[in-house]
Formats: sequence, C-alpha cells, structure tokens
Amino acid sequence: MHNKRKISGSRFVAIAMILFLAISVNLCTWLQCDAATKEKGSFYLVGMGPGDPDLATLRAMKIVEEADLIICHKSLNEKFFRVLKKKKVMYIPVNSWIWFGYGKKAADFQGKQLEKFQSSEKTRGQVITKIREAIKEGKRVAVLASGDPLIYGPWSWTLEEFQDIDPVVVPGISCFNAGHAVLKKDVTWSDMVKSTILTADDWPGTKDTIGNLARHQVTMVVFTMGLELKDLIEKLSTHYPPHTPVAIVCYAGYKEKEYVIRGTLQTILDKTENQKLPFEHLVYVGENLNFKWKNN
Amino acid sequence: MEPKRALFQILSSSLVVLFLSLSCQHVDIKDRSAETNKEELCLVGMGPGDSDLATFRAMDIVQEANLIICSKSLKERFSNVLNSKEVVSPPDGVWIWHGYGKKGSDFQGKELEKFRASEKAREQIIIKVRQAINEEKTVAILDHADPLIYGPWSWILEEFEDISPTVVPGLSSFNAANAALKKGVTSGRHTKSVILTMPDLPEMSKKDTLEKLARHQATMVIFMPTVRNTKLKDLVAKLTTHYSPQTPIALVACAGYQEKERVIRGTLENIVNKLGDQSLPFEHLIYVGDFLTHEMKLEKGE
Repeated sequence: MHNKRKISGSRFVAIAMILFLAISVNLCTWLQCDAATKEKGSFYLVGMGPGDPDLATLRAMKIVEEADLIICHKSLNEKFFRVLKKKKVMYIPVNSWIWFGYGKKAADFQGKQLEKFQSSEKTRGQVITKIREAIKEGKRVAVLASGDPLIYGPWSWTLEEFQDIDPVVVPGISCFNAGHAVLKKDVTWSDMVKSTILTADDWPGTKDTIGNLARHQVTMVVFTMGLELKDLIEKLSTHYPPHTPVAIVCYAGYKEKEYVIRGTLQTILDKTENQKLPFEHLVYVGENLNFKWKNN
Repeated sequence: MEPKRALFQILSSSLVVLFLSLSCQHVDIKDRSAETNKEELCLVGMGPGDSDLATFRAMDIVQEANLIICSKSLKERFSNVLNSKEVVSPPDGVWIWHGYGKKGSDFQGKELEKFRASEKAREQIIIKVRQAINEEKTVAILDHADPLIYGPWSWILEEFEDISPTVVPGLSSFNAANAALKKGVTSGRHTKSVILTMPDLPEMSKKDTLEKLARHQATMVIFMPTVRNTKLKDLVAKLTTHYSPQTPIALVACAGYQEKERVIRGTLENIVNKLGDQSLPFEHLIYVGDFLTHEMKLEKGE
C-alpha cells in the first residue's frame, strides 16, 4: 500500500511536470503570436557597439532577441554568435559596400567605380526586397550595425529607404566613445578648448577638409577607414604645431586586444614605421591629450 | 495529508523547472562576468536616458563592485541593482568637478563658496575610495552617459592615476540624440564632420568660438546650451554669422528616454519662435547642419 502510493505519487509529479512544461511553452508561443499580430511589422536600425559583445546595450540585445528577421554584416555573426545562431539572419558579405552610391544612378559612375556601384545596387536591392516582404507579413526586422549606426554608418540609408514604415533607431556606443575610454581622458574640454571634431578622410565634394578643421587646434578624432597615416599627419601639420600630441587607438573596446601608440605629430610616423595598423583604429590629435588639471 | 503532499510535490517540481529555465537564460550573462578581470577602481559610463541603455559590461562591473559612488539620480535609476550595495553620493547641488586642481585664492565671493563645497565633497570621496582600495575592495564610480564627454567625474582619473583606474565607455547623450533624429550625422550635403562643442565662455581660448566653428558649415552639436544662462537667441545669432538662416536646427530633449524623448525642429530663422516659452531640461542638445534634411534619393536631381 505504502509502495503503491509512492508510485502513484511520482507518476502524478511526472504528469504535473509535463503539463507545466506544455502550458509554459504554449503560453510563450501564444504571447509571441499576440505581439506579432498586434503590430503591422516594424523596422529597427540597431547600434551594437564597438569591440567585445558586452559593449552592446541591454536595449539593443532585447531588440535582437525579439526580432523575426535580422540583417547584418558577416563580421557581426562571430561577435553575436550566441544570439544569432537561434535567429533567421540574412548576412551581407564584409566587403560589400552596402552604402555606396545610394540614391545615385549608373550614369554617375565610370570604370571600376561603376562595377562597385552595380554590385552595391544589387545587394541593396536584395536587402530591400527581403525587408519589404517581412514587413508585409507583419514581422519585426532588425538591421544591426557596429558602433553608432549614425556615425559613418553603412546602414543609415535604410532610414531614408524605409521612411514610410517609421523606422526606430536604437543608439549604439561609437568606437570613438570606446577610444577615449582607452585614453582615460576627457578630450572634450580643458582650460584651453571646449570642442572636439569627429572627421574622416577628405572625399571629393567635402568642404570641411582636415586642413581647414586643423585651424582651431582642438581635439580632433579621425575615423581612418583605410586612410594613409602619412597623408593625415601631413594635413594635420599644416596648423597644429609639431609637438602636438597624437594617439592612435587600435581595437577600441576589445578588452584583450586594445592598445595605444602615443607620440607627437613629429614622432608618430617613426613610432609606427614597422607596424601594420589594423583597419579598426582611430587617430586622436590635440593638446587636450596631455592636459592635466593639477599641474597646469 | 495526501493532497497536501501532492501539492507540495507539484510545487517543488515546478519550481525546479522554473529555476532550470531561468538559469538557462542567464548562462550568457554569467559567463561574461566570469571573464572580467578584477579592477580596483573603475569609472563606468551608465548611458543616458532609460536604464536599458547601459551596456552589459557596465552592469557586470556594478554587480561585482563592493563600493559604488554615484549621484542620487543614478542611484534611483539603477535602484534594482544598487539597493543591495554600499552607495555613496555627493551632496545635492555640489558641482563635484568644480575647480579641481585649483586653489582657494583662484576664486572670490560666491565662486569661492562653491569651490569650497566642491573641495569638501571631493575630499570625502577621495578618502572613502582610498580606504576601500586599502581594504582590497573594488570601487565603481558611476556616471551618466559617456563619462568622458564633458564629464563631471573625469578628474578622478587624474586623482587616482597611481592605481591606474579603468574606464568603461558609456553611450553618450549625443549617440542617443543621433538615434532620435534618425539621420546620419556625418552625411552633410558637402560636409563629413561633426563638431561637439558648448557655448562660448569668457575664460576659454578664442580658437574654437561658435562663430569660428560655424565657418565649416559642418554638423554642430552644442552640449549644455543653457550653461550660465545662455539664451537660444544669442546662440542662433552667433551661428547665423556663417550658416545661412535657412539651415535646419533641432533641439533634442531627454534623448534615450523612450517615453520622454522630444525633438523640436526648425531653421535658424524660426527656431526661437518655435521654442517660444517652452523650457527644456538642462541636458538637451542642439544640432545644426544640413544633414538634418539631407535626403540622398530625393535630391539627386538637384
């Protein structure tokens, strides 16, 4: 009798567990369905931060977890593998210039540039079709970008393309925020200056050239993106004095990999002579790099 | 007796299931915190706006720290994690950065009073941090947004240079405001730069006045636009020396707060009227530049 009761008891527990599991699974799927049908389909551009995956914000990860379709460069797959492996993802090859020539026509390009433009247009076309389809089915689509998606971001064109469905942007930390964390300096202000300029290589048609911006001698952060260091130092030297401090921050935000090469406009080329700088590096220049409140 | 026992078994077994499913979800986070090295002193950017704009790295550091130093407003925002922690906050109304590295003789009258209050608050914090470090505790100083963009706590990096503090980067209100504007800030019609600046103060050098910076007609972001009672009207007058009156301008308030975030748009010509009598919080940002209305597709015919 005693034995029998034990058996029936454990059987009862097993049934209860199965029931509990079944109910909780159903509840989850039901909640998800409910969330999807409530909305018409939505579009998010999400900044995933620079460096290690733990520099993503809680909000960004939540959007990723809830999305039905994710679009991102292949390089983000490795970083966010743990979440993305469970997701439906459309990957874009790393070397596809997804932003290139958006809003332009083939007649605006020639030769190799035309080829690049055509391949970019093709990839963009595929991405746009995929997103429109998903939105029509009432799905949540998230395009993931490294860093801050709106600072030299390759995906900012999507906000224009999908204006009609009212995109939402989830902000991300820029490599620039991670850059001055490595430098351990508030580069924006001191007794002397109060401004910081974020800039990039002078491309055709831009009026705010590095040479012109150098006049103010404030902190300048150059998003190098393949820019030749020698050319950059030459342009900066037209207005900053030769002893102005320079810091090259490589792999900002990667705890294990990040490092800094310091020097002045005069010495930095020698200091980097035999080194190959990674693609992910920023150049900081300006007196504020050496500024100290106490010994001033 | 029997139904009671059955109920107990159901309850306990469902608890086990619940615990298992919860712990599965948290594996990711636990793994990460195990990897982080022990830092003695860390300056942590907690992001702007809602608490979900903090990074995982920042939250890990907060969870592991023995002593937390932060403003009362941050203590409230992160009360979930901070309630169980030792938290020290500077007194309300004290400018914790004010006059760091200066002497009493550099100030007069009301400024001197302010300086003394700041020095006192700083000293208390410095002693507290040194004590904790001596006891081999880990200390985290939390700041709003990005601690190194016009940050009130950056002086601690100089003060504690000897124990080489680390910095955990945070999302700036600038990053959050970019998102609110939904525009690539580095894509002007003929510009590619963003200038982060603040109103001109008499004691600062004249190299980077708003007027001089306006020459480039690049994207300009003005932090603390009401500092020392600066008026929007005066800022607009300075900007209009080089930007045309039709240049778009946007005021972004409460960037990063999903419920409160607000953008007021206009041009240099009409923004003062558009703002009218509305008062914006101190932390709002002003954006100027044609990136605000630049559309790559619609304008290709131009």
